[in-house]
Amino acid sequence: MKAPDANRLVVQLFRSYYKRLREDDIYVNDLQKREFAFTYFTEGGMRRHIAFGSTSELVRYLAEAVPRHAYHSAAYYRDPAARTMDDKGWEGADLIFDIDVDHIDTPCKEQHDKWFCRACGSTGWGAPSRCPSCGSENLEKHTWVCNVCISVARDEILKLVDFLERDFGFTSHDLFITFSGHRGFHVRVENEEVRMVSQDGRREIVDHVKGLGLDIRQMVVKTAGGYRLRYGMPVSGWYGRIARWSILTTEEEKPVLSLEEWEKLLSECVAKEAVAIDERVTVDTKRLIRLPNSLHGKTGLRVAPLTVQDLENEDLLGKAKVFRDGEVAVEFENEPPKTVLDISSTASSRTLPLYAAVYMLLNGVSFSKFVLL
Amino acid sequence: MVVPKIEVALSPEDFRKYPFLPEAIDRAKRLGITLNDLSTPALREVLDRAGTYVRAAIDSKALPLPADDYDIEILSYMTTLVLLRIVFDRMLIRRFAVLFSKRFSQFIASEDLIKIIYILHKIGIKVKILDEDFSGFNIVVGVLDYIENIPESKGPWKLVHRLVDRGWVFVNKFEVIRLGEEALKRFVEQRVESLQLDGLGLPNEVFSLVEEVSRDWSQKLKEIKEAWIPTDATGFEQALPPCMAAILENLRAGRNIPHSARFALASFLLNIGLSAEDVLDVFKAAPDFNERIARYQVEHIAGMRGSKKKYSPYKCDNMRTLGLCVAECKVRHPLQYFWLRRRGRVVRHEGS
Repeated sequence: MKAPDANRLVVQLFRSYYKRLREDDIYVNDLQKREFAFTYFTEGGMRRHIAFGSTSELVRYLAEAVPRHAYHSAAYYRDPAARTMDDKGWEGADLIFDIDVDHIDTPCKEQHDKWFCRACGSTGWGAPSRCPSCGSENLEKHTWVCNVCISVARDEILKLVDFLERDFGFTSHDLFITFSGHRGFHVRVENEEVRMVSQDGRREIVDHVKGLGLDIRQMVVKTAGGYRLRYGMPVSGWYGRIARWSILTTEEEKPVLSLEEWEKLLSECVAKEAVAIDERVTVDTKRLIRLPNSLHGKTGLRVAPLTVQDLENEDLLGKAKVFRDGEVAVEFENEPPKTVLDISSTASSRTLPLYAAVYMLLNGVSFSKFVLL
Repeated sequence: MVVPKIEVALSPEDFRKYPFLPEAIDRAKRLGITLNDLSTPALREVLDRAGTYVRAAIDSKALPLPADDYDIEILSYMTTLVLLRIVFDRMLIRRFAVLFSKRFSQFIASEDLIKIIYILHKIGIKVKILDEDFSGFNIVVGVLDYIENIPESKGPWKLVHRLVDRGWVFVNKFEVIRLGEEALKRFVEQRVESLQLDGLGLPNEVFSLVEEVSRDWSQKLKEIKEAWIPTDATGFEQALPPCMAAILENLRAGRNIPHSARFALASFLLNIGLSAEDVLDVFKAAPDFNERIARYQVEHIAGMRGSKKKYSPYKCDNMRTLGLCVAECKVRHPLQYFWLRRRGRVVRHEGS
């Protein structure tokens, strides 16, 4: 299938999706105060500084413009359509978290991620940080999504929810979770108190969730035969996590250990409990984030709103698949990726579900045969 | 969780010490005094005192003790905010806020706990006293107020080292006072910035005081700038803090450095006086150097494009979060390290 035809088919499918979208599907509070931004199939670059007077206006726009990617600001503005930050008039921002498998080591990357070294021209599977042949860090990377990636990200998001509820006291009503449409999740905390938290405050939240700056000497005191935790009855926070971890490892209720042992214990605890969020996203109070229920232009998957219960459910991808009906008979021109979404095969000629075919089209896979069944 | 309402009987002495309390402001408002009345001999003291407060801020010298008469003190406080609003320089407002909250913390330290909590409520801090001690703590502060008001993001103050539970951080009396001091700074700054002065006519006496303090402040600013801004950045490398030196070294070694490190270095170099061209020269060593893109980004950071605002480099806390901090230098900002070194001071640091 040649590129122009592929494009036409994808736009058609995206349009049919956006035409079915209803106002109830738009989960953006104070919509009039948000900046929107879009990229398109028909032009390069991003159009920013767009504002909508109502949800119905936005829904109409999506069906007519059929964006490739759709975003809204985490921030609230007096005049979201103004072109400069000063004119926009910042009035606060939701607290947002981004968990993306790109930043986490997963075993499945060997199965589907590809790299190309711009320095020496070597290529291979996996996601190395430098070229195994020449050592250059100048790599071009092609990343793909599978069930394993999503499950790794899910574990991170569950840890994050634990921090947000047990340490920060947010309730499930404050948390709005979405699948990112690619290899991760977004969490938006919508709460009056959190809106005005400064960048410094947000950085402190990041440090807490990632366990940055922890120093065991701040948390233990000297006692006969070594050191014990400073406080007796830790609840949540890192104290609680370390206390639980120390009881689990030593099988003692109030372990007394050497400083080195405590340090080791702390680093194990951090490795296990800290959440791999992208700190830049959380600290940035002017960030754009994906519009819930829009389609991701690189996967054709839906930015699906999820509850904590949904996260615990096995088939997360099922919530994000949009083009479930229909199959396509294909033949690949080149070597196909071994695993894509929930499909694993190396056969070069086969039948694919429509959603997987759309995913491949959006990622520039070329087919010598592509027939809708 | 609902924070229980605390009732405290305030005395005139409290209005003297805490003139920012809403009860104090209401009291002064009931007197019906306007700026025009400040030119009358009876209220000349108010204007003089406000002038003294602003001048103390210009020189960063401790504020004098409050006036004996609490009405005079409340009016002087309000007038000071008006003067600061007219001059409207963020650095000067900040200076006043710092001095004012220092004076405040001397008074509040000797109050009983109920009154402390009451006053902190009034400046917007979510805080309550526990019915019984928990691991030696008897006060909890809302976690968002806690993180906004910690004096430093390390050591015992760092949230990772605190006892927390469902949105509350456990603190002691000394700590809650320190948090209150920080919160009062922000409170005063916000008060000044939100003052509406539209259509307010200034009587001559007030106007000439504004002129006088504006002139003093410009002069002060000039002195500050002369002391800190270099005329040329030659030999800048000898004074670089370890974090910037490390990024520069990685860059020169042809390693691919993350975007955050590039921004940190570019904004730092632009702020110590290198031109956009000089900075571009430094970045030529990057393995993926693309002159067009790099120029766009450096000029953007330099404030030559887009918002026309020059970006400030990251402070140490941010460098730590981004994983770019490589040593413990006992400064709060990489620029501080640089200027100390440039002025011949030895800055000790431990590699970490």
